Amino acid sequence: MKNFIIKRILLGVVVLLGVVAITFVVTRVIPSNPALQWVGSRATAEQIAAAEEELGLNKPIPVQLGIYLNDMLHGDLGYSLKSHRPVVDEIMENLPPTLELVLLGTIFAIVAGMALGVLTASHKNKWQDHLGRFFSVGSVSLPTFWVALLLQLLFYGVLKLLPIGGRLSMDAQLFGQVPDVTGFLLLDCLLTGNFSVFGDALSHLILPCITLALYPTGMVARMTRSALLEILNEDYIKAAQSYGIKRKIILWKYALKNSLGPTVTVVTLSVGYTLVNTFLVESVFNWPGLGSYISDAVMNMDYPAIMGVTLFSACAYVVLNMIADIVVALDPRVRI
Amino acid sequence: MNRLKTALKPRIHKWRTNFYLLRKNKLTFLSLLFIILLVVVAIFAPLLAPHPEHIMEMTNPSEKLLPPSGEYWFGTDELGRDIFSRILYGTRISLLASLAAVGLAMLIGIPLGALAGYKGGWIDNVIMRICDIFLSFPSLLLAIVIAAFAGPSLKNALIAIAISWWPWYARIVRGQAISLKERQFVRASRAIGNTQGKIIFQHIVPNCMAPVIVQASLDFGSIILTLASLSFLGLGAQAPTPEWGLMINTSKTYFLNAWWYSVFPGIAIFLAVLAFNLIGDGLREIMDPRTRNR
Repeated sequence: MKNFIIKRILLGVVVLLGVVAITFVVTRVIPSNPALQWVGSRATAEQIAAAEEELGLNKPIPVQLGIYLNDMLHGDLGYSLKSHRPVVDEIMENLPPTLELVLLGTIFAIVAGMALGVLTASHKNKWQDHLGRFFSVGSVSLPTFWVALLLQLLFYGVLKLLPIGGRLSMDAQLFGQVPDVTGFLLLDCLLTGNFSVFGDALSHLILPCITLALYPTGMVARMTRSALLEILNEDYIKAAQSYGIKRKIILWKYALKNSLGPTVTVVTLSVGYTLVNTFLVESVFNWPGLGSYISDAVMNMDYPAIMGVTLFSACAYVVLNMIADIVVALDPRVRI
Repeated sequence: MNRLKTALKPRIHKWRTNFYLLRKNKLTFLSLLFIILLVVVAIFAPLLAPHPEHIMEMTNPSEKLLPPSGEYWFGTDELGRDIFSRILYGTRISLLASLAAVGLAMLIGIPLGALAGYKGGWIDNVIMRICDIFLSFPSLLLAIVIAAFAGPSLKNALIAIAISWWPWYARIVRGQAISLKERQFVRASRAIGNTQGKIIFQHIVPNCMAPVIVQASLDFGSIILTLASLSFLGLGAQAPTPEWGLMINTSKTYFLNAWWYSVFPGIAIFLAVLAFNLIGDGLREIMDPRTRNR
């Protein structure tokens, strides 16, 4: 057990190093001129040469990779070519809004997905089951960015219920005294007791969260359904039934508890997917997070910023994968 | 001749049962029909499109952003082009580009996987660890990075997709190659002194193709979706190409007043991806006898 966890963590480190190497190769092999980007298009040849010197671009590629790795270990991801500010700082500023979306979306997906899973499993082969299964496959096939637009069209364009995008409305930004403690807007509002801004922020969160939750909801529902179907055939469920315990209690308490293992795996894995999906969703909802940041960086060919966000998301993904594997291993029924 | 027949009999029988199972699973069968329809549309797009002249650069300002009507079934876009015709052409682009991406991914993955499986040892280890690294990376993210640095174009987008997808095929082929390399015919080929390259490409690779093709059909939906997402981000097809994701991207500016502009291309993406995903599910069920009777 202990050995497995240590091995898994070591593998994670190797993978991370590989990820760094791949992003590095991609950004350096493909011809582009970061030095020119740094000094601007009107720079003289000497200025470009100076920038190359300053950015370390005149050294051999393996040396550059070494320098990059060393800097990275010291928490330095370089400077944005556009703003000339440290990429780490910019990532940290843009992270809370994205995490807010990812976390709320995931929580929503867990609740909705498990409910759907239980519903479909308990009505196996009835219309609820067919509808639920269709939803599971459908939600995985939907283009996220399109769903985002449809929701905007419906809830903003037709029903005029929810705001079209952004994190706060103009009024709240100007007059609401937006609190800034942790960067997580909802949490900050609760901490400072600012409920008018809280309501405003919440209304802006609903559509992006639903959009993001769609994919993991389908996955969780599918997983829960298949796990439950297997478990409902087991002896201890039959025993519980013969004791006359209510069907609802058997489903939600006895069976669901044992189906949690695979669900946890799916959830941790899909958080990584959701993180990348926010890139698409944020650009539609004009949400000021990592996704908008990387879109801007892509537009400006700001390669340290692109690499920074990529590395950050890849790290998150690798760590989540690791957690998923370890959680599975913690289950005493699994032998490794 | 007779011997051939008896040898083929179980095979034909197997095909028949599989086809029967496919028919029995109505949803899978329907999606198969839909995919055939998509292919037909893709091939005959120029004949089927009511306004083939609306595909490329063209402006028709007097008819811009018209709602769906008898003349323009799905309405018109901001340049007055027929959205229905453009979606039909988009089928061709999405299917061809995805096919190219899968093909390219196979081209990288199959030889590497065969080499890893056949040679074993450190070569196997190195190739498989590289696969692990690629697979521990969200494919859309890798594709975004590559497409961003290579410059936005449809060609670069599909190269990016292929680069993030090849490890799946390498893994499958490696597994096959390991079991194949001890088989009689491979050993015989080695015994008569054939070179490794010849053994790998003449004996190992052709015998690995069946599971690879199945896997490719499972992946096709996700690849169409990734391609559309890249185009939506501006990293794939460029205007005036009638690519579905790109159409939705341009529609962003107009969709509150012209719902049809975003809705119809999205439906096209959704249906195509759904059909491939359903086929994938169906194939998996047919091949996995445990779920067959559920």
